[in-house]
Amino acid sequence: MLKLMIVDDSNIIRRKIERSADAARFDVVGMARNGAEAVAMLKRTDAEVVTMDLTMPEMDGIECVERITAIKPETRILVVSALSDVETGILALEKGARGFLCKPFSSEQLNDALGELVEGIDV
Amino acid sequence: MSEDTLKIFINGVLNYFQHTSDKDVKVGAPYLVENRDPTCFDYTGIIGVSGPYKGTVYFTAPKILLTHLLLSLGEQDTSNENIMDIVGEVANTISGNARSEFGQEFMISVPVMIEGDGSKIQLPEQLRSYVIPIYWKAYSAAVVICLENV
Amino acid sequence: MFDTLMGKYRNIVVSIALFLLLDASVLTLNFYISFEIADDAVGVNLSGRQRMLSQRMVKSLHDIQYSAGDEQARQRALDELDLTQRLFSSTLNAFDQGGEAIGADGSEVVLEAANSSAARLAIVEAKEIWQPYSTLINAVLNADGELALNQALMPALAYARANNLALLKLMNNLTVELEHVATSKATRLRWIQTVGITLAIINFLIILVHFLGQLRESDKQIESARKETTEILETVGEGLFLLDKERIISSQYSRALETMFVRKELGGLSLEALLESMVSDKDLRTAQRFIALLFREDIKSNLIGDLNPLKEIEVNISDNQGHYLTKYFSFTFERVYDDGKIKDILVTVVDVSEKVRLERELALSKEQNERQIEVLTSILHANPDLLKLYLKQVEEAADDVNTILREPSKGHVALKRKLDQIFVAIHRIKGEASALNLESFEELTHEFELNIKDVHGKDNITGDDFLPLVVRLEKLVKHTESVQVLTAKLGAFSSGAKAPARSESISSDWHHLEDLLNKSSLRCGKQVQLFTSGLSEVPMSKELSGLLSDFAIQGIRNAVAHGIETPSEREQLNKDIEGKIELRLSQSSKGELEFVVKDDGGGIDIDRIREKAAELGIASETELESWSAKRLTSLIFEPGFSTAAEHTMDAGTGAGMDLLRQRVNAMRGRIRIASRSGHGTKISVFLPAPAAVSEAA
Repeated sequence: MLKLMIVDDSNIIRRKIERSADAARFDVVGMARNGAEAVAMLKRTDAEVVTMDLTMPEMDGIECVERITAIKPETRILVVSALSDVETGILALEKGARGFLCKPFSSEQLNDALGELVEGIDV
Repeated sequence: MSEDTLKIFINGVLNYFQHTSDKDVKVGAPYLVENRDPTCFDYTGIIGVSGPYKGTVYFTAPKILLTHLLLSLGEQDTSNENIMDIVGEVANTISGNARSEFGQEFMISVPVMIEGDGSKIQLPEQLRSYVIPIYWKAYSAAVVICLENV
Repeated sequence: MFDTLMGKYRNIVVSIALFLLLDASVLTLNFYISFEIADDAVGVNLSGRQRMLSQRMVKSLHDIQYSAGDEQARQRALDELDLTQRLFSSTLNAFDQGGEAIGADGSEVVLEAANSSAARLAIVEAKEIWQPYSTLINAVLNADGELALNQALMPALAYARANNLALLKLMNNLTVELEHVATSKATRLRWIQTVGITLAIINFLIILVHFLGQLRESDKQIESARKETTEILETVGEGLFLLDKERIISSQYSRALETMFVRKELGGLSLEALLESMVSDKDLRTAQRFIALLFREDIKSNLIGDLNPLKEIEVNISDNQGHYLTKYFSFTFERVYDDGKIKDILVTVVDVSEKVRLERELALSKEQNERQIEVLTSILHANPDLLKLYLKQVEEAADDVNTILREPSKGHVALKRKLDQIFVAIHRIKGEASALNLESFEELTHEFELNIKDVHGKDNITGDDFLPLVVRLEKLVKHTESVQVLTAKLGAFSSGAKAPARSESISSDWHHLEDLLNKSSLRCGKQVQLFTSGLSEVPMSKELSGLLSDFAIQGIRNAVAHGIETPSEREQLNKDIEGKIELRLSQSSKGELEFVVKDDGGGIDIDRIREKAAELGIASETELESWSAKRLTSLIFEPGFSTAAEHTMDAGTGAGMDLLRQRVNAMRGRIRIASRSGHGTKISVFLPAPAAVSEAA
């Protein structure tokens, strides 16, 4: 089981990701509403996989990716964001995220993306 | 097309003439022409525009004006080559001015110079062009603008 | 690497090794046999010396015999005999047993025992002869005193005489035999060399023929593989190329790429150099960053496709004629791995212009449809024929305006005159738009007029002040075109149901005049009623009906704006609160038409006209005092003369009457104005018979 943390300011999206993520592979260890919460939660839960929204209050996704990567570089971060701004998406990857999933997404798309994301991790 | 857009191209030409010894350059009343028969004088410098507006802008002038323009810039050699050069320079100034005014969204091509009739100037036939006469000394030239709003 | 090389080139490596081995063997044998031959030469040499030594021994014995009395000579001969005897003995021994001997130069040489049968026979026989001979010679050498010597000498000489020839022959046999052995060895050596070299040559030829053939074969295969790749790259429709980390384009790329980018020799170029000035700087920078991500091992390439900024990019290709060719390209990027590491990026470029064009067209036609519906609703109420007529008028007016603009003129005064002329043309179509209730045209022309007035108010008019006007003109032309397109469509749609009537009377356009009146009176805060008579009784051409309609419009507008009083004024004057306007058309027996526009307003205000005329500087005040009412009234037909206090959409721009007079004149008609202060104005238009009109036209 891989420890999954969901970071998104939208309650609906958080729940959707939680519901969609393959329960046999992922153990949702925490859900954060903004970057600051996510950083605190990472230390507590030791999550290995993170889904990350980009536009959030308090601490946005870019900064959050930066912080998480600084704390635990091996964390696999999947940016889950609307495609209004390709450049911000690229920036997130430059800062350490490993993949990008465009909102809106289907459960299947999310699982495919997560599967791709965690490829190569020893369970 | 807005008046301001037209002005950007006209100013390009005026800027150029400001550098000559005879700064008295006047803009004539503009008018429209059908693109089926493009207006042009002996020499023409064409630039392509792309971006939010697409199309062609050209500066066209008679040989005599360009010859005097060369002389007023202190160039005694008024060969064909130099005349082509000066048309290119004016077109370059238009292009440069447009580039600095329009910013990144626009692409302005390097000028192309042609001599003689305007058959080589290709404009979309169903559209009209704005012709802005330019008067300098006793001569007249023109800036022709055909841009399409995309 | 070494293994694969060994595998691939095993045969050639083995062959070359064999060649070298062969060469080495030949060389070794050669070396060995050469040594043997050298040894044999020594043997031949020494056995030859044996012949000479046997002769010398005989000679020494004789020398001893003849040297009696000469002690010195005798001793010399004895020494000689001693030396020769020892040499001969030791050499023969060496030939027999093998061992050391004294060489020709006095140094020691080692001889091998001769082993050929002939040689052995010679040696054995020689030894048999030598044994006693040697004993006899030793007796001579060891003799002590003259007598003893002579005694020993005699048998030695006798033996020598008897056997020397045989011994000489045997030594000769030995020499010949040794020579023979040496010769056969040399022959063998030549054979070995010949065979070795022949084998080496054969080997070389095998290498040459077989392996060159193989090399050529594999070269051919490589060449055909390359040709296939090249053919693929020549024929695929997509742009294909590899990008390295520095974003440099590979030397091999598909031909289509050159066609797509209208540029040759792309290999070695950077992607930036290829795309700069074709896509915006912003997109280019984003693309660079995106490609950098593709080279990062930790990023999942399948998960970043959405961020590709070149997924559907507008590319503007300059055609070197000063024009841009706009295309839409779709770039896709695939990692190319080598040994598990990202080596290059395979880029595929597809021209999706057609797809994008279709999408755009769809969106555009949707938008156009919406716009057309808007235009449609604004013109739907208008009479189709009048609308068509009107559109033609606008077109003509626009042409006129453009012609006016085009007339070269530089000074302030000339430009101002231009402005006036343009105003006249625009004002005319504005009035008609208002009459036909074409709001979009009313708006456009009204804004146009306002622009003209802005410019008119300037102290020093220059050419660029006309820029907003020409922009307005284009707008007007475009709008007219779009309405024309629409009406053409509608016309095609309804032509089947169209009435066949050729001539139409104004009565069918009745409503637009009423509309105009209602709108104008509302705007001016007046109440007016319209009465008409005879309008539908006279058949007339469209041109004529257009003129009369315009005349009615101008008359109504003037009456409402200038003539008819406000309801409160009328109340004070004891008039009906509601003013009246009458339109009447009649035809005389000769066919002459009379069209009358009559109102019951305050009549033409002559004083106001005089004031205005003075203001405009048409004549001095004193002069104007002397002008008759008729002359003053005719001023309202002068261009630019307007008496309304304010410019409104209904009146006050003073161009309408001027134009009407021109048109009436053109039809050989005349206008009469009658006015009574406080009672109203009557404007009559007299036109020749319609048939005559069409002939005149």
